[in-house]
Amino acid sequence: MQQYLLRRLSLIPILLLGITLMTFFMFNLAPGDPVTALIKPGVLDGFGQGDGANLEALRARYGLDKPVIVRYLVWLRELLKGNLGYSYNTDQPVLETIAEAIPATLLLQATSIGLALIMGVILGVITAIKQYSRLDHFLTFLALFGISLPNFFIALIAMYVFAVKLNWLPIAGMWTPGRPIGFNLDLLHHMVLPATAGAIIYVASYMRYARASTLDALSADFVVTARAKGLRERLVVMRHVLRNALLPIVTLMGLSLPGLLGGSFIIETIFSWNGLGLLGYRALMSRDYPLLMGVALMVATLILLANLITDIAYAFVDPRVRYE
Amino acid sequence: MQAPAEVFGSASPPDSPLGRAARRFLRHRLALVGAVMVIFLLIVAALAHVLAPYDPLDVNTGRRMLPPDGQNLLGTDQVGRDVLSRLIYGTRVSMSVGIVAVSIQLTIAFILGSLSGYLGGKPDMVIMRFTDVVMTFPTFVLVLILVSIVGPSMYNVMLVFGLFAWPGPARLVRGQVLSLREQDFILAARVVGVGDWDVLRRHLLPNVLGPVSVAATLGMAEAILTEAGLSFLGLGVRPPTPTWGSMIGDARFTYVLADMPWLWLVPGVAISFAVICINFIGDGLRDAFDVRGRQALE
Amino acid sequence: MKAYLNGHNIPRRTFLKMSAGALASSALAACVPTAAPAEPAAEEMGDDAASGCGGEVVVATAWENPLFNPLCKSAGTPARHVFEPIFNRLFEAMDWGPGPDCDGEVGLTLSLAEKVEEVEKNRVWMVDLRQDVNWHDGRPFTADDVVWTYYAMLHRDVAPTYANQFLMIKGGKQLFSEGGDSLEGVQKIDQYTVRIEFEEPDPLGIVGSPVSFGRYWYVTPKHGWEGVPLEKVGTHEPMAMSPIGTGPFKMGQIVPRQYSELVANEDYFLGKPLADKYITRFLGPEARDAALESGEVVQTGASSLDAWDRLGRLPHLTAYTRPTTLLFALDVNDTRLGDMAHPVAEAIRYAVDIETILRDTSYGTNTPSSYIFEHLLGPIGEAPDGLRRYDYNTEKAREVLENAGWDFDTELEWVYWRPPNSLDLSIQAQLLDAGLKTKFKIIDVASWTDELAISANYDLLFEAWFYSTDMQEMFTHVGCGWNFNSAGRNFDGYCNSELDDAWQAALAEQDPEAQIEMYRNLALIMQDKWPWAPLHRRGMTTMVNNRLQGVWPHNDYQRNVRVPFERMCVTPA
Repeated sequence: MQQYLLRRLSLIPILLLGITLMTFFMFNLAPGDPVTALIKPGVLDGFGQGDGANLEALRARYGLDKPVIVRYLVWLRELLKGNLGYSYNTDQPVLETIAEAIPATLLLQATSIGLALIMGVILGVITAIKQYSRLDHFLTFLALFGISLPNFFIALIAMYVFAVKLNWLPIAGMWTPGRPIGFNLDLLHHMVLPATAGAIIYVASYMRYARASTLDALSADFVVTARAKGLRERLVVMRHVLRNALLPIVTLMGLSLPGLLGGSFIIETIFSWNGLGLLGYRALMSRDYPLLMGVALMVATLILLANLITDIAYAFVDPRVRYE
Repeated sequence: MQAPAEVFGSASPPDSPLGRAARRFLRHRLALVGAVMVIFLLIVAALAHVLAPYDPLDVNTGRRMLPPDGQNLLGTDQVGRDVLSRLIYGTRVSMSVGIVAVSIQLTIAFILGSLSGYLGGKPDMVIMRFTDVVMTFPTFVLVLILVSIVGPSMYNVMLVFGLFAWPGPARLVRGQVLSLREQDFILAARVVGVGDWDVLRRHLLPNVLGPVSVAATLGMAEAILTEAGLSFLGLGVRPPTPTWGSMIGDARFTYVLADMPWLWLVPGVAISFAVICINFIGDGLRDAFDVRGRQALE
Repeated sequence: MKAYLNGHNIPRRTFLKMSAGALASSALAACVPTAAPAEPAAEEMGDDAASGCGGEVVVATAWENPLFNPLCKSAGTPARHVFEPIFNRLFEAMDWGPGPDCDGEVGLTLSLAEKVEEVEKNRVWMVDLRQDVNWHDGRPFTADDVVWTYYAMLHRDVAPTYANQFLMIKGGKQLFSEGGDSLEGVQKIDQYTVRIEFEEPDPLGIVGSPVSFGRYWYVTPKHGWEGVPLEKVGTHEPMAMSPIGTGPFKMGQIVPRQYSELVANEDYFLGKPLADKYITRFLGPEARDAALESGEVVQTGASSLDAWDRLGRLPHLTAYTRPTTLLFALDVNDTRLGDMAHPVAEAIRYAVDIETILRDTSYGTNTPSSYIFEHLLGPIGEAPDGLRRYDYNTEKAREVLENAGWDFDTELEWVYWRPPNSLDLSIQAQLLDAGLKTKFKIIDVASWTDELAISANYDLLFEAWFYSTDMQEMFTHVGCGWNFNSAGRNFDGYCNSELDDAWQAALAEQDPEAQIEMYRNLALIMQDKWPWAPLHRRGMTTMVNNRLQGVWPHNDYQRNVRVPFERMCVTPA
């Protein structure tokens, strides 16, 4: 186990370096002059001065006048010091801006995953136990329907039905304006829609895996033995089937993080949830490359960590992995 | 990664793994339905210009936002275009995006995966670490960033999605190749002097077809949904080209949701239908090739 | 269908006449606006207060700029939503119109200024300030603040956004390009008097550009940036996030990417505001529509004209529109298309059936317009004889293109920074009917300056042009060398010395009658030379919950009065 952990951990620095390389060179492809992101467009808004000397000074200030490799190394050195640069739009340190957004994203994603997991497992186990029943077919179909619609559409329909028509939930945002902010009931109330909308797709996939692994467990030798011993079916399911069926599913949580974080660009934007997704989308639309780079880097790092945790968890659950 | 034990040394009558898979697939009823439906969609896509009653770009401001009637069977949109015609042409674009993106993705996956698995050692190390790095970025985020950099268009969406969604299938291919590499028949082939390339082509690739085709269906469904998401954020196929995603994206506002169901129901059903059918095919292939769940997810 | 308050019923020409003063006379008449600020009618206020009107005004706007600073980097509607209730200007610029004429109807409205005296015609002004005004932190407002504001607004190190509106102040250009210790043109005379001097006579100079730009500056407190180096002014906290102003509302807090919360300024010099809070939520377009419908917000812009119309029909909402001077025209890139530019523009004018499109899609908010000076009053606003009418005629459009030797396979790049709406799509389809192929290229909003204004990377650009009522400023849309860097709007580098000479001659003409004829003649020169296709004037639209009082119809935009935030309130549900 120790050896496996060491091997797994030793990869981390290499992968992190890879992530920085990929991020940097991806953004280096960007055409145009990000300095102009300083100047806002729009005929109604007026427009500023593209004074030549001013632009040059700004370029120098942002280090945009040096060759690519040098810029990468400079960038990497600064990165190691914890400096992700400054937002083109606000001049605020990128790290600070991102750090503010991470808790909101983690809260929303953790809730989404939790919701998806609970719903998915319950439905999956039910469908497995009632295999080939009408309920099984119905729920399986519902699950398919859930993964077959774009998440923005699910989100908008949910917003329309539950917030506009029924008035049960707030439309968007994280807190009622003018009320206390922080981790409170108001926040949870605002989180219901985005968390559910983000979870729907994963309910379906968790359900399918829960169903499959429950079916596997149901036909496993020890379950047959347990039944042969005359244990009640309910007890068999609770004690023997679930435990063995669900452990592998828990590790799937890590694997769904990339999809969720990708989807958060849309979900957070629709619901004005101030997390990495909204920040990334706003940076994308205003060409705030330092900020966007920071978001991409942070998302990748989060996923790397999630994968690591998943792998280690999996190794604990399934000893065979360690000797692979 | 499990080795398909039936590939070698099985006592069954002469029968190729592919033939057996095909037989199993045909027994899977839903998969069959899915396949027929997808073929139907492909025909619609191919014959869009024949089937569509109107030009999908034909604007008629005098007939805007009208519910279905005799003239426009599925109603008209905000600029008076025929929804049915847009749906039919949208099939062409959405299916093309899916197919081309998946083809690119699988080509890369095949090349990198089989090289990595077959050569082993340092090349394997390098390729797999590269794969790991690409995998740490959510595909949607990569596509979003790159499309915004290279500019949104149908070809760019196809290309970018194809270029960045390959790590999953690549790992599948590598896994299969790794487990097959040490099998007796491969060793035998090498002993009798068959070249590396021929071994790969003749013996290894047919065997990885199963898991990869499952991955392909997932990829195709994902491509269609990704295109929709990109359209929603204004980074998809350029308007006025109709795609299912952009049609449903145009219907995002409350007044449409409330008053004009034909504008979102129609493309919504189309996307849902296509994705479900493709998933059925995937399920059928999974059963036919006996691919395990966790593998397919990655 | 609910009758919209403005626009729908009033014939366009009548409205334009009503709203704008006579340009020619404004430039010539002696101009000493000393009118007192428009006081709210007492009984109306009483009514509102008596009916329990107050509460929190919650409005929604697009995504906000993440940083707020009244001096720079805070352009755009969202920032304005946050700042307008916090700050005041010396006097309120026109929403649109001819600027400071002496017609009592549409004159300049004084705000922090108590009196404006013209010392030298159209060049030097003496401004007396109100003496009863305090900043939100209790410090008194004085001439030092005004001097500081102009200085900071123009200084290059501040990297100001709206400097171009005051470049003509004496010493302004120098301060903007080289920096310096002071601005020569704005001098403190005593604690409550400021002298403002322009380089050249400029009848509209004192308000900044009369349209839109004039709105985008605020008098800011000098002490807010005490000891802060100039280059840090733009980002200096707390001014950047919780600015201090003189207006009816004080900054409460900004929750990034969520909302800004302003609280009533009990000591506002025009009286205590009716509402306790003014909250601006930053929402995407779908959520804005939804929040208005659900009652979470009481005012917002609509996601589209269709949404504006549909939501306006709901019993608890009202949709309003008002005309503006914004003249939307397709600009054909002269540099890219060369000799083809003008024929293409002419073909566009024949190919597009703008009357029908607007009738079908704009719900009366937009009006066809093809004469650039139509928004001006008097004879100048009447189209001159010889101005061609471009009645919808697809064959004619095709013919124009054929005669010019147009290659019908060419696809023109039509650039936008937002998804095309039904108007754009309709125009595109009609252009296609005439054989003119176009493709949309959507750039992100932040690239507007770089891609369009500086690099002119477009074949077609559908934009507002010639919306100003200042002939000098309108020249910066067509004149040689008036590119983006010189604060002009001639992005594609069009240059025609004949037009330039005629325009300059008209500006310099002293005889009003002759000048009007010369102006009108410009349109004739342009129709044969200038590669553009003017199509319509756009109306502003907004949607309001009927519980919201004090904005519409009280806020009379036609009369150039600042939005009276202190009179906004929400009636109990």
